[in-house]
Amino acid sequence: MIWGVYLITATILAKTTSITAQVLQPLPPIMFSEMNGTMILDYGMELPIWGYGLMADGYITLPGPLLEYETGDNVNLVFSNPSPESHTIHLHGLDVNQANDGVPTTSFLVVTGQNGAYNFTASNPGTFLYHCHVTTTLHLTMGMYGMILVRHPDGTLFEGGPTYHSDAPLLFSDLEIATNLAPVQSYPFHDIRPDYFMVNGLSGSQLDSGPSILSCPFGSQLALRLGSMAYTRTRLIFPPSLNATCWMSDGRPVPTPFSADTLDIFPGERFTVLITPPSTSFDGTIEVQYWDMLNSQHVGSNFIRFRDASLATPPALTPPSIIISPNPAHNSITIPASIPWTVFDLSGRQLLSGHSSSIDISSLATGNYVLRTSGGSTPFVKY
Amino acid sequence: MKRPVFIKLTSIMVLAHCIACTTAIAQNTIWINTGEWMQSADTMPALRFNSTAVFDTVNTFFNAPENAGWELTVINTDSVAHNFTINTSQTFTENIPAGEEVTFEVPALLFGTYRYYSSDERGEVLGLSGLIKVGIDSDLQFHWNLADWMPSRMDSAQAGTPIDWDSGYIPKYFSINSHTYPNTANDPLGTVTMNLGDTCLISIVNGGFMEHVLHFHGFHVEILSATVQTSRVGWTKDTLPIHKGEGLTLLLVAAQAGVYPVHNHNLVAVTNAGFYPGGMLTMITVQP
Repeated sequence: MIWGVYLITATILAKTTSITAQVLQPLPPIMFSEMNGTMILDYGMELPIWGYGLMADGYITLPGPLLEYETGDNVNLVFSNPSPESHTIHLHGLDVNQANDGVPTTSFLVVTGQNGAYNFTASNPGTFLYHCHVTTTLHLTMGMYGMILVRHPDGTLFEGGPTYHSDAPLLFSDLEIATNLAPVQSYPFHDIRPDYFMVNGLSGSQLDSGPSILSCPFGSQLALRLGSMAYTRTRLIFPPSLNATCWMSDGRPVPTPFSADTLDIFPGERFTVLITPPSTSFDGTIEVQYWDMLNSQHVGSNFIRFRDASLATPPALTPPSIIISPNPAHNSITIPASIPWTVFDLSGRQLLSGHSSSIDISSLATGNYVLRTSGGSTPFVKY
Repeated sequence: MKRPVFIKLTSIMVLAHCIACTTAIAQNTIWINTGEWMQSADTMPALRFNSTAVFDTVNTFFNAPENAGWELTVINTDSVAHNFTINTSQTFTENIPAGEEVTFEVPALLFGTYRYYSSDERGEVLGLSGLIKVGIDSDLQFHWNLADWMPSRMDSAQAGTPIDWDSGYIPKYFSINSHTYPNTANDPLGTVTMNLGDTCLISIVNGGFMEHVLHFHGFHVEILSATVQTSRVGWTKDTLPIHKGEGLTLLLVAAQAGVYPVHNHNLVAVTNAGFYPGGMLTMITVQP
């Protein structure tokens, strides 16, 4: 696999004259796509994903890598697709021309085994997104998206805008576990019901470990770069003491910056919000709610921790001790020890209970469930 | 007594000349008509506000003057009473009994785009919802009347049986001016076609039962009016939420040539009966 990546990289270098001509300069990142990745859900379950990655890394992630530019950059974004299906990169919000828009019917496809390049000027600073525009209802849902951050070069948000300490990109998204487990069975696409909700691809307790904890020194401002690739409407609830102020939306300054203690972000929207810790001892959370847009129902929440930078970063959480195998499973699952357990559905109804290490789940309907023990809760999938 | 106090456009006129509103036919009578709306394998019962007594799947729209009331006659050909409602700072409602004709004064409105509709259950579910453009006198103007449709609820409304509002809402179709993609691309009222450097105004109402969000490829647009998100007037965006019942007026400058999609970014809504692409997806074409 590693050799394969190097060979593909070498091929691109050989074919892309604009890169080989600048051999002494830092190479711009080369993107690739794959359809055989996995992500680890909260509490340990592995889930198949499709996604983007950097050639230099050799693996895909959900979301894809953050692409960072400066205002005015002329970008040549090289994209290689060794995956089994065609893909594109739609540069959401950058107002690129038709040829580089990443829409199969009006732009170009990057078919299996081929490379493509997107050329554009990052004319405006701000927060943008990218995603595959091939059968978007499936490819994006499977994880083919990421964030683009265009910084203004003088350290302000935009020309004449406020200065700030640092950026915190926060990409909100969701997925339907059953779709990722069986994408070829995901039709009908009008009935996708997300049941897992993420911030930068993480959820629940995963957000309460080192790298996911936001921090900023007292007296300075953190720029939250907020974007949504979800099916749900995302609602952020900031503690009022953070003085959250919205300065930009969709890569443009808002005419009048406004206090944003509650901020709704619809699918595809972006905002830039400045927050500041109210004291050197501040350690609080920002709630992220996910609202079903069809029925206006609150369907999930996450919590982002924000602390003053002087506080030590807490250690990463210990992985859960209860591991279910196999997961997904059809007839039975096994846990490491014979301990009391209970199986619930996602509505909280108790369906099974027992204390053996082997659990018969043949009576359960296909779907998502939670196994609860004294050690915590672990989701599993019955197929 | 009826008198033509406002300007109203018809589809025929727009086809002939998109959109010479200043020379449009003056008309102040509309009909509530019954008919059917066909999509994929579904034939759904439908109600529409039309400019003639003949059923048309597309609700009619009005170009009304700013800050001036106008007289309107509504003829209800349905066997059930409906109403003519506008949500402004104060809701305006006029009842239209079954089989009857009612003439009334529509209140003066400020510049912008407004939804008019029938707020009764049968009327809303079967599609009695259109838009009023107020004070919009651009030579280039288009509009998108957004709606979402759940056939089982429509069948209940048609049969007069109770609608199951408690079960989850899972609409099967998503339309712009009663068209779903790819037919949206042939809609003279909604398919934006302009020349490089032109400026147009786009009026949008959300006549559906859920929130929608439209994303523009290739362009940012300026929000000129909004009936719900009033604090966003003056913002420049590429992705725009439209709340239930809301009206928006957008300014689009054709800054680059090409063909660019505009679509709902809640991906369930770019489907027809579950198939992609479909639904709320249309195109902007800018000639060089």
